[in-house]
Amino acid sequence: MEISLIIRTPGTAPNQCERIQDFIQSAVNQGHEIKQCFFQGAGVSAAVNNQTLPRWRQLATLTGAELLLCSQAVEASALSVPEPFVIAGLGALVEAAVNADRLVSFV
Amino acid sequence: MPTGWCLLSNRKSWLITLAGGAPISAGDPDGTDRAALQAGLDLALAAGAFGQRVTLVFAGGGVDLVTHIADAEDPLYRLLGSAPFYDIDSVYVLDGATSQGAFRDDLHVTAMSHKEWLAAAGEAHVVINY
Repeated sequence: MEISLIIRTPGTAPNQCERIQDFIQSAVNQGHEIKQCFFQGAGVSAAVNNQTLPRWRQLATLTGAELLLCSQAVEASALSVPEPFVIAGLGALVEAAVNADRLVSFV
Repeated sequence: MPTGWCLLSNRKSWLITLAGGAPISAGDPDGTDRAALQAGLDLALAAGAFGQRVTLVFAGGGVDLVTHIADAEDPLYRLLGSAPFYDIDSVYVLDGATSQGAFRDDLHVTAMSHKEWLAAAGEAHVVINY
């Protein structure tokens, strides 16, 4: 099954971020494919903080998934965007939702 | 092949519910997370722009956006007014919230029961709550 994720979990909740990463790992272990993780709103801070970043990099390599940061949120928070994250608009999220078998949202 | 054409050829139904999420410190004093409302409305309009069938439902703290008593100069209120341009012709309000006053007249606002909402969630391809 192809799965895409919307992640709105703030970086101030590291345990929740870890659970999202565990979800991705488990999904891959069970033979599913993660197509895209779209970080929206406060979720962009969960993507780029020092605590979570190393594992995001590992998961990007493992899954080959796109790790996209919402352009509006990046602009609002004036973040610098480390690799492998890429800035994208909502069109990319819509496209991923349309093409995936499941869209899972984390708040 | 243009992406827009691709998406139109794979039209799905979306149910997006705007309730203002869980209260957060950055939200309004009444506990409504306006950032969540903005994010959900942005996604609804983007999905509409890409030819998706969007059912937009308001509940909880989101209901203010469809009532007459809301601030008509509020950017979110005004943004919602553009929904028909994105092929979102009707919006819905969950029952129980309909007693909050008359609805704005620039949108077609309809009450939706919880039973209908659950049925809509069961039928939609994409279900997201904000």
